[in-house]
Amino acid sequence: MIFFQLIATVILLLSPLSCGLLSSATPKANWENVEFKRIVNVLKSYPHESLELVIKNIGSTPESHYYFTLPEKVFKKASIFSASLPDHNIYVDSSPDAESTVREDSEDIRYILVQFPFEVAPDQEIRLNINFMHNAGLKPYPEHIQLGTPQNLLLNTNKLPHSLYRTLKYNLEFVGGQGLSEVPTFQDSSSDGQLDGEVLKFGPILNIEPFTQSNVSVTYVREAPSVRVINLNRNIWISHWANTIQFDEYYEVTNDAAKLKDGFSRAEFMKGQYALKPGSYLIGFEMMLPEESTDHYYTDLVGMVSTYKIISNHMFLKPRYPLFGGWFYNFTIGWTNELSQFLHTDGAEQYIASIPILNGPLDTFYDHANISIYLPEGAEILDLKSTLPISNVNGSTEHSFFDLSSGHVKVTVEINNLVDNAQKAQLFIKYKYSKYMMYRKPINIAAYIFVALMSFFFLKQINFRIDP
Amino acid sequence: MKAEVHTALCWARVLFKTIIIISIFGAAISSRLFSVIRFESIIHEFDPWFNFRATKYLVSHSFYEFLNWFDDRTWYPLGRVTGGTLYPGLMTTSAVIWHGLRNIGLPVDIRNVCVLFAPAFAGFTALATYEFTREIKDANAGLLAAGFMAIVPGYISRSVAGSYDNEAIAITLLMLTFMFWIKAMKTGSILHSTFAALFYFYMVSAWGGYVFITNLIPLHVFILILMGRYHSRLYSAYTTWYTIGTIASMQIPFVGFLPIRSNDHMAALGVFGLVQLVGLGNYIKGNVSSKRFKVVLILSLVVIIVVGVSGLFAITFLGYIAPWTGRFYSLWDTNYAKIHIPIIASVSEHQPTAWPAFFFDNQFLIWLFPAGVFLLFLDLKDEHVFVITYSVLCSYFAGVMVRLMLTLTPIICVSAAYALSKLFDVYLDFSELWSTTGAADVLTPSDPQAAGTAEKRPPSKISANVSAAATSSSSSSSSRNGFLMVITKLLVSGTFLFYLWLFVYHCTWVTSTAYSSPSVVLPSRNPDGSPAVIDDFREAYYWLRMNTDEDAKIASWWDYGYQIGGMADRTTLVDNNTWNNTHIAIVGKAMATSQDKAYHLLRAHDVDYVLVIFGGVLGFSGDDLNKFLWMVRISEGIWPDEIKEREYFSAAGDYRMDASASSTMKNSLMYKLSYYRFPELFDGQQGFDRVRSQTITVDDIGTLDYFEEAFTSENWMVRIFKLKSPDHLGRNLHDVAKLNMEQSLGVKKRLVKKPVLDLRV
Repeated sequence: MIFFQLIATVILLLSPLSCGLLSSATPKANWENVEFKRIVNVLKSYPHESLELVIKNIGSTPESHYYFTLPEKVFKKASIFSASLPDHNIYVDSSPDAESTVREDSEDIRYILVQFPFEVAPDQEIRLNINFMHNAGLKPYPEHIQLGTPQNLLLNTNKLPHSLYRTLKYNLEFVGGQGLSEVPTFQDSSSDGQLDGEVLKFGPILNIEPFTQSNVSVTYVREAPSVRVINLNRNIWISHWANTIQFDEYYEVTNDAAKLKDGFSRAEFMKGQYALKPGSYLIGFEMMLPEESTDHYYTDLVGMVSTYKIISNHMFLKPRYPLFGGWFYNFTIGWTNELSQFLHTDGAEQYIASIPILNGPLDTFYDHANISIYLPEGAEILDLKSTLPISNVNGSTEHSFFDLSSGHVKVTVEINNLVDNAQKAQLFIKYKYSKYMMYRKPINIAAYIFVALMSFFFLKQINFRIDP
Repeated sequence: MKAEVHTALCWARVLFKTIIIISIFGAAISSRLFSVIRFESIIHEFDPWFNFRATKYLVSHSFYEFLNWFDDRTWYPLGRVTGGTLYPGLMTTSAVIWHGLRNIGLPVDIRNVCVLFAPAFAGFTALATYEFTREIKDANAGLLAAGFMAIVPGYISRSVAGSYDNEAIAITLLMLTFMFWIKAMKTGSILHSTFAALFYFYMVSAWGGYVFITNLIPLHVFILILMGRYHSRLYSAYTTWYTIGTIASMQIPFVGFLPIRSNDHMAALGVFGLVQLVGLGNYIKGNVSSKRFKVVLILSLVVIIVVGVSGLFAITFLGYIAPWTGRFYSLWDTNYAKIHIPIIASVSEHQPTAWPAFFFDNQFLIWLFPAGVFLLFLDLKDEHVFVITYSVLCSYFAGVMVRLMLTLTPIICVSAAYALSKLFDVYLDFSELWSTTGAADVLTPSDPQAAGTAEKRPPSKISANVSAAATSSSSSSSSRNGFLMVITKLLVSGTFLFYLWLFVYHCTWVTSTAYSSPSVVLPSRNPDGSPAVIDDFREAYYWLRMNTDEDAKIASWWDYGYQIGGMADRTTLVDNNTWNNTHIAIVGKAMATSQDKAYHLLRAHDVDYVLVIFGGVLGFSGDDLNKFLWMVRISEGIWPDEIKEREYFSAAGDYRMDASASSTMKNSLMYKLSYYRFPELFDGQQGFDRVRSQTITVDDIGTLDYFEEAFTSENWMVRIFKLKSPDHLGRNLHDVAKLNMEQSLGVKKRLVKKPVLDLRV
């Protein structure tokens, strides 16, 4: 029941793996973008694009399919794509379409099919909002800086909508960055962006033909690291005997910020007291843990890292060294919560666990995440659902401590391209774990110990003496 | 009724013994866990990191792959035939434990197996010591010895949790081998001597110190023969042990044919021959008259000695037998290593032992030890000869080399337990008191026995006391004498119980303060007084692991080779396996010469990064500058024309780093890398080195043109420098740096230099 309340918002997670559904022909251009307003928010380490469209059916038949286009490089790195109809206050289905169209003068285009729950009559207009984040086209500018100099980021993105449909009026705004400015490119040396306060505005541009291609590069100052988790392995162990749920997370992290020009000088770093100043280097992570977590640990491949602190449900981690641009680090953290915080039971030996998908730091992009749930030995998985559609689910077993028969039941969910917003999302797993299975375990262990002791006893009875 | 009481007492005895042994196990394990509790489950120091890495390799590969392991990540570019140059016993044991635990549903991490390996085996060592001492005296002495062995710092120093070294298992095997040897020697049991041989094989597979057993057992046999105590039991025990042990030990790749070729093993072979001859002689003696036998004996002795000694010389001369190794010579001549093989002398654990160390490591056992040996002399059974031989030999060795304290410790425990147990036998025996109050005139059965044994033996201070006490109590049953006796007994035993208590206290204190630091992590305090750790080594190693190319080659002094291999997972030029002195000298030379020469030398060895340890900020005295003279000496041994130790001292002949240091010193790469930008931490002009208490100015350090700083850890303990890539215009890196500096300083003057117009080939 909880699902239905929470899955009211269907958010689609894009994955390049899950493409390959629609026909190869270019879809019919039976819509017109009456208004196309695009706001690119660069406040975080990844751009957040929110699009407000007014579209009109110019065909002769009622239509419920709208094809949204994205450049391939953005499509591959796009995260949490959602489409909604603000007038009707509903989110709509939007599924990635495999077909990429290759055009001579530009990069590949990918379609995303937005399916309205109703048909739109010819000549009728409808408002459509689209939101997504991505991690494409962003790089430090210049790529190497000296310690202490502010970092500039350069965002290279499509200037025009790049749409399958004709656009009548187009506006583009960049917000959230400090000192936003346009960088002239080879093709387009004219800089027509106007700075209005903190907002860099383009347009309105009128009458854009379908697939018109034009890129724009924007720079802005960003005194914060661009944290990217290359790989996240999140293991969640559910124990009914201990009544605990244990989280164990392995992160492979890098900082996409500008690299150091002359290597890292500790003298300079200490002299400038940079550890206390904001900059493009990463001093520490702030993990958002569930309430009332206990038994925290923070390790990496060479052992314990002593520099962490728990303040209520925040875990502050300091890596072994500050993470400058292009540097890597990996670590494992873990904690334990009471199982009852996450588990609901319907009484009939059936349980539903609702597990947060992420507990990581804010302002972070995840390339790849593996979320594994370990159920007790002998549990039976009935269902797995998520507020984020999940692409790749694997079931297996793994032998852990005192698993003397089949081993813990393990479900692994693979997700590509996540952002910290996914912290709000949940993973629901419904499983059956009978009392019989629960008591079988200690009985098994006891039986083994008994057999061992008895065999020891009988072996001791054997007489090896040679002399009578 | 009486029989029932007797069986009940027997059961109680067994129960108590079991409880005591379990407690000893508990004490042995728990007192070694300080470092885990205080720090974490981590591998300590240097060599254990290699053992740990090898164990991980064994766990992830097959056993044969492990034996054939060629490690191309150390000793670049030579590589190391690791599988053939290590003692696999330790790794194999932990791999077996790891697999075994997995099979019973306990998938323990291999690191935890390795960390807790030594404490677990310490428990078994205590058990083996118990059995050993039981053979020497009785179970009471055994329990005391086991208790001593469990907590004595001399052994704990090498077996705390995390000190995953060969010694961790070797001492256990040493005691097991000796225990079975004593059993075999006493009974002539082939089963026991086979066990002794098998444990000897295990020992050979685990530690190079097996040579000690190889020589001690033959020595024991030899002395027994000299004492005229030859017996067929000895014959069967020794021949069985020697044949099985030798053949088995030759199965270890690293040992191979050494048992029949190296001089270290010749004594065992010689005694093996001798035993045959003595056996034969004994047989002849039984069949001919004693007069004729004397002639036969003298003749054959002369022949044997002449043939044996000249044969040994001949074979050694012809090269069939390997000459004595350097470590062997340094056992006899403490100055040998310093002159001939500086690399051996440079290891701190090869230094001679300081006298206080004996007390520190053994506390009151050290003075009970000679007493025990003396008491053994009074008894002088065959097995006592073994303990005496062991004590004498090892006392010498322990005085020569610090690390050999470890082999002395077990016998100190045994002898001390022997002495103490003898004492307690008499002074802790209050049965008399009980019998006088219970049944006034009945003598306790132990009384005449004690008196009798005491009188039989030659007089000694203690036994004289014993006999005095015993006779006085038995002759007159006056209450006054009884009272005095009780007072005496209470006083003596009370004193020794107090010593025992003090011993436990001392052991715990020593273990906690001296031997429980992982040395990878240093304890410190936060400004607010809360405990913190200084984790610079791991910080820097982890930086290397994460942020350098996987094939990057790291040049550092050999001390850190194993740690870099284990923690940073990068290729090193030299490591703690020190098998190639020249290669080590290359690194020493690079550190000792000027930066341009060092740069070319290191580049020729494909080095990407240079790592130095610098303690000047923190006051960490074990840093590279303090080891620098050894680098100089070792490289001087190879290149006496280029590196001269004298040039590194100041004009006054001091080893200084400040302005008075010699220019060779200031120009050496080690100096420059250590102090690079060090004054900036202070006022920018001069910095204060807290290890050497000297002031270093900017001018002393000069410029660093050929290397660039890649990383320095938080407390500056580890500094990593990258070799600059060659200039793309082919210029000298020194000139490039100078030009860049002038440009950045705004010097407009353009240097117009006459180009070198010689022909480039």
